[in-house]
Order: sequence, then structure tokens, then C-alpha cells
Amino acid sequence: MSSMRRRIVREKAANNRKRVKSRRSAHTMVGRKKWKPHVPSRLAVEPAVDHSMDAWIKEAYDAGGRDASLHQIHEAVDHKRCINQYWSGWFLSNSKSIPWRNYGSISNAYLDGYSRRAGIARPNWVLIPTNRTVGVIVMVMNEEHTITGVIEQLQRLPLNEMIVIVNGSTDNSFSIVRKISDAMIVHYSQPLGHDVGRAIGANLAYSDILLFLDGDMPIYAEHLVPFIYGIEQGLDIALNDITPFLGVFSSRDSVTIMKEFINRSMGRPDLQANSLTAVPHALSRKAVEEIGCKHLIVPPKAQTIAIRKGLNIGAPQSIDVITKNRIRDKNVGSSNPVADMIVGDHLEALELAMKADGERLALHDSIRNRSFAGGSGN
Amino acid sequence: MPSRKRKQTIRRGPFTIRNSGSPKVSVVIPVVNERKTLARIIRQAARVHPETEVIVIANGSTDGSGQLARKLGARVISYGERLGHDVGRSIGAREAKGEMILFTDGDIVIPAEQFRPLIHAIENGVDVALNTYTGPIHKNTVHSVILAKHALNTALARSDLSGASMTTIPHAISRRALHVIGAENLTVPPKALAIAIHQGLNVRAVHYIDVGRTNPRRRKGFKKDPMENLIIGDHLEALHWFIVMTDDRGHKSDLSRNRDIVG
Repeated sequence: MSSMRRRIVREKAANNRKRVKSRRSAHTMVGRKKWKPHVPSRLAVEPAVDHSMDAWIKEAYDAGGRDASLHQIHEAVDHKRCINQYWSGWFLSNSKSIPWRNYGSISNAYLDGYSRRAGIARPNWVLIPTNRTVGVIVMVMNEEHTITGVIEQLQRLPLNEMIVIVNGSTDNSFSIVRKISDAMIVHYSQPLGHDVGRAIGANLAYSDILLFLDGDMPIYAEHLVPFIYGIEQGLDIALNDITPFLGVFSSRDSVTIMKEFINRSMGRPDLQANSLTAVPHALSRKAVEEIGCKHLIVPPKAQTIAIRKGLNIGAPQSIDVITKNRIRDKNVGSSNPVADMIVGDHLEALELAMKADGERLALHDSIRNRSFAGGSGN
Repeated sequence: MPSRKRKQTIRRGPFTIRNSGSPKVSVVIPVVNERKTLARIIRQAARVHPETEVIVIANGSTDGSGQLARKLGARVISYGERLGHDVGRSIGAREAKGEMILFTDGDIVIPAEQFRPLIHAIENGVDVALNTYTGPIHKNTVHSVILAKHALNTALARSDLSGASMTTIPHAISRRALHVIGAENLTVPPKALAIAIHQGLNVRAVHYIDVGRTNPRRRKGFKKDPMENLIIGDHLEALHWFIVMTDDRGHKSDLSRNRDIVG
């Protein structure tokens, strides 16, 4: 019969493949792709089944539908935030069992179920796993080409507040932001200088979880979720982990070297070269209060203060800000004013630590007998 | 090793070096217990320049290194107790009569040919001639000491020096450099480097001499090498000196940040 012949043909092919595999000698194993489990030829066309994810997707879909039928959202209320509250209630009560890497699919399923039952068009929102208030602070100078993309992604999130700091702008950044959003815009005709916008935004914000972004790089809303969840789970500072995008040490620039040096000097080698200098990152309200808005102006200093105060610092997400950031007129070349400034920031940070912990940051010299070296010491 | 075949450590009999009365080069070698390598090291040091003196600072020796060095013809300054890392350099520099001072260690034999490029650089106007050796840097995570050396050079606006350092031997300095830096500051090598650079001396990484075998981290038996913390602390001390001598930003502009806008 043809189906039997088909089976025989398939099995022969599978056997052939097995034979070819065993003929490969040891040295060809080097550089092979990662080992994948052998799937019997019968199931060769079907994808691997992940019961856990499928089951949760169904649960989420049903939960969404349930919440839609249970609640009637008043017109005047922010629907996005309201639905997010139902979602986060459900998610957080199940969070120990829900596989985090499937968060995207599962939260989407919830929204599918909800909008289906509620009879509304499926919105393109991204649900966030927290009941806490969330605000985003966006720094903008001349970003008319990118700011639309940035804001559009942020509008997919159920934010409590969006604060855009526009300073020293000579293009249409301000009017674009005004046109496409109802964010709080803080406008200065003069440039304020690097990182000052963060401090102003942090000072004005009331939210419990604060996300900091630059207006020059749109980031998918989905990719911002881990920063928010990091703070929800107890971090005070959720940094961006740039480690995967750094080359070997010999290829790294001055700024990266200083970032790693200060982390190690402050007893946090685990933070590698991750730093508040870079965005995106998120802060808890506690972090803002302990560090002080004013110190956010010099990010390495803020990080040093945070470490000294024992705040919880981690890097729960990795967004490649390095490749795209390479070409920016002030950032390239050997005499690079922005890089020099950041190195200076790190010296300010070290000075702060040294004032408190001594010039050697507690790595005392108990080995040398310096009196034999002579001199008055300077 | 050849010396195992014979009973005496010194194989070639009473070969001694002759120290120059008015040396151009003083080679400073701090030593604790280095019987195994000292003879070869002293011989190579003496060959660096026709007018050379070799100064050995023996401190806390229990294997007769001091006597051995004296027997070989070196100038020896002895101390009964260990003085600690690099203190010997200050003492030796103070005793040196040469116009150029070359620093090396007692545990690695370096042929005179490898020293000479450093000496030639000093003759040609360089004040501090460094070894370009940086340690292994073609990996993702480097040793903290390597990181510290790079960070210090970056802070001093000399990232062109990469990971070169006065912690690393061999290196040579001019008499002018000795005067500007101050012999006592040679005890904390990163601080000496910071002073040299900040005071406008001609500091260059001149020649590659592979000293990898003697890096402290390779010494067995240490989980957390105490040398590591000492050297990192030295770099912090150097940075502190630099910060105090400049402003708290090492004279690097913050590009007109308006800091008063947030209270």
C-alpha cells in the first residue's frame, strides 16, 4: 500500500541519516551546531510541543475572557491601565508557575481572550506584570526623526505617566511630541547638558517604577518589560546588560573600561561594565530617594551611591544600544569630548567613594614598610 | 634544569661583574630569596651598558641571596626584614649614581638585549620608558590588575599606553624623572606613573618584554592573591592623588551641565 511504502521510505531515510552521522569522526564535532534532540521521522514536520506554555496560553486566554465578562470598564477610565490591573492580578498570583520566557505569548493570549469577550478590537498593547505605578522619562534634544517611533512604542504600555524633557532643541521634536501624545513635556530652549534631563524627570515623576529612555532610539515595548518586572521583583536599579555586545577587552573603549573598573572597585564585579550611564534602565522610587535626583546628573556617581547604600542592583535585560550608537558625531574619534566627560564622571564617582572609604577604598597596604622608602610623603 | 646535575648552584666559578665607578646606568634589583636566578640576572644586568652598576636590595633574605649578590660583584644593600613590594626600588633609586635607572626583579631572567631598547629610549629623551606588556587582554574578563592599569591610563588621558605600567618590570627612568617623581613615590608604582604623566614628563611604552610567567596570579596556592588587592589599592591611591591634584574630575569638562537646575 502506498502509505506503507511511504513509511518504509521515510524509515530508510532516517536510517541513512543515522549511518551518515556515525561516520563523522570526532574532529568534525568541533564547530558543529548545538546538539538538537533527535525527533523521529514521523513527527519531523511537527514542532516540538511545550505543554507548559500551551496550557498557560489557554489559561490566560480564558482568564482574559473571564475578566472581560466580570468587569465593565467605565468610559472615563484609562482602559489600558484598567485591563492591565486585571492582568497583573492574575499573573502575579500565578507568577511562580508561569515560565517567564513565555511571558509575551501568555500576556498576548490574555489580551486576545479579553478583547474577544469584550467585543472590542484587539489593541496592540503590551501588558506589564506589575500593579505598581510606572512612569517613563524620555530625554530629547534634536530627535525629530526618531521620537515618533519612541513615543509610539511607549504608548503601547499601560503607563501612569510619560514625561518628555526637551532641551536645546532646534528641530521639530517638541511639536511632534505634542501632536502625537499627551505626555507631560518639560521644555527648555537652552541645552541643559548631559543627563540633566533625567534628574528633572525623576524630580517631577510620582510613579513607583521609573523607566529612562533616550529619544533617539525606539525600543519595542515588549523589550522594556523586563526592566519593569525587575523592579517589581525587588530590584532598585534595573540596568541594561551590554555584556553580550562587548568584544574582547582589548577592543573596548575608555568608557567601557572605566565602567567596569568602578564596578569592581566598589565590590560589584558581577555588574561587569553595566552602568547607569547607559539607557534604557529603570529605577525604583526608593532608589530615586536614596540616591537623590540631583546625583542622577552624574550617573556613575549615582551608581556609586546606590552601591554604597546597599541598593539592589541587577541587569535583567539586554538591549543592543551599542551597535546603533556607534555612529554619532560627538562619540567617535580619539579626542572625544563626550567620552572624556564620562571618564571625568567616573573620577567624580571615585572621589565620592574615597571621601567615605579612604584613598584605597579599604584595600589597605599592610605589606609594605613605607618608612624605608623615605621622603615626607605627598 | 642543569643545576640539578651539579652540587653547587654557581656553576662557572668566581665569575663576577665589575660595577662602573661612574655609571651611566644603574640597575636596581629588589630581592628576597632568589638564589636560583640571581647569578644570571646580575650578569645580564651588568651587560646592559658599558658603564653600568648593579644594585641589589636584599631584604628579609633567608637563603643567602645578599651574600651571593655581593660575591658576584653587585652593590648590595641589606635589610634583615622584608620591606614589602617595591620599597626596594625607592631605596635603590636613592643609592643610584647613574643618569638612567633601570628597574627589574629578581625572579625573572631577562637578557640584556631586552633591556637595551629601554635605555636607548631614555638616551633619546624619554623620561619613563615602559614595557609594552599588558598581560592577556584578548578575552572577555580580564584580571583586576590589568583592568586597573588600563583604567589609570585612561584617567590620566594616556589610553595610548594601553595597559603599560610602572608596576610591571622592566622599565627605566631618567634622572630628571627620579627628581620629579621623588624616590619615595617609586614604592607605589601607579602613583609614580600618575606623577610622571601629570607633571609633563615624557612617558612612553617602548618595548615588549614578556614577563607573563611571573605575574602574581600564577603563583600557586593563593585563592585570592593578596598581591591583587595591594596592586588595585595602589591604583586607587594613584587615582586619588590625581583627583586631589586636579579637580574632582581630573580636569575633564562636563560639557556645561546645568547642575543647579535640580535642587
